[in-house]
Amino acid sequence: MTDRHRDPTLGDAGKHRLALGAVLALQYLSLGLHLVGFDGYPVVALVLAGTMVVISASVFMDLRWALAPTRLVAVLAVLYLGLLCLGVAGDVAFR
Amino acid sequence: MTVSEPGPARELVREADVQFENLARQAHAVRFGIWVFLASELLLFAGLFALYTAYRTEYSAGFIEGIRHAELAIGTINTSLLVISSYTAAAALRAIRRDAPRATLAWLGVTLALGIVFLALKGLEYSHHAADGALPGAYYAFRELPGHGGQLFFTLYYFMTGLHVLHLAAAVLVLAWLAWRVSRRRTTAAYHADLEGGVLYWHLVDCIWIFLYPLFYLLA
Repeated sequence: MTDRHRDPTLGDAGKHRLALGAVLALQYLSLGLHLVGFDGYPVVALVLAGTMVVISASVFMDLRWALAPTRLVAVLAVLYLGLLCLGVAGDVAFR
Repeated sequence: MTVSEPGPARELVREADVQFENLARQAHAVRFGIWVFLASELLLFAGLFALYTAYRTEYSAGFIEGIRHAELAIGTINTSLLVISSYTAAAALRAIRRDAPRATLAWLGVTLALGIVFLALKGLEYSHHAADGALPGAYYAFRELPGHGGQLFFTLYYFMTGLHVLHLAAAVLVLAWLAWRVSRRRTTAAYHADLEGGVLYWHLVDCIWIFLYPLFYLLA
């Protein structure tokens, strides 16, 4: 999955375990905040979900080792998502 | 492909397809192509997330009530299953890189098992909702949550999670096929771009669920 990923040691098992622990911790943090009825929870939940995806993409999907064209595709997709979010937010705000 | 040695332990030595100079370039093309495919998948779901946001803004009360009727325990277990399966899929890739086909097969087996349990639990969840009459579109007959908001919530719930289920079912089939290739030594440490692609797809399915989980189970 990686363009520069020739050395097997780069896919470090320890980092993967750490990422798994972090993503699971964030999931249960989000659940806990939901259960206690945390103020402003929707924004926090989406930020936590975004963080989980960033950890997953950068560690499990090895995006950090990919060559420029591959990363460009990922960045363009995320930019499109951002544009879509802006459009929806604009629609909600000015409806 | 050529066969390096005869007998049961023979291993297929992969040669680059005719349009590529070498295997490294072929692997690069496969990776790039997979990422373009994943980006297009992301755009598909992005449109649905935008639709969800627009309807949730319009029918806020119905959506919040809909989430209160979600099967939170099943959704939470399923999220953990997919997160763990991402780790096991990555472990399968680590194993093939160090030329350990048995370990690769074991990790792929665990990944597939987690995916199948997810699908089974999702089926159970759908059956609970269907028993309550919380069905999509014109079939909606959920007495505890009458009104257009609840109907729209459950229609989007079935459509978005159903599309995700289809993607996960496809990912299960792809990983099963890749496991067969590993067992036949067609995917090896020397060339495993196909397994990388399948695992990347699995991770994408996991990432999409990470956003579906708060939208349909938590944001009440």
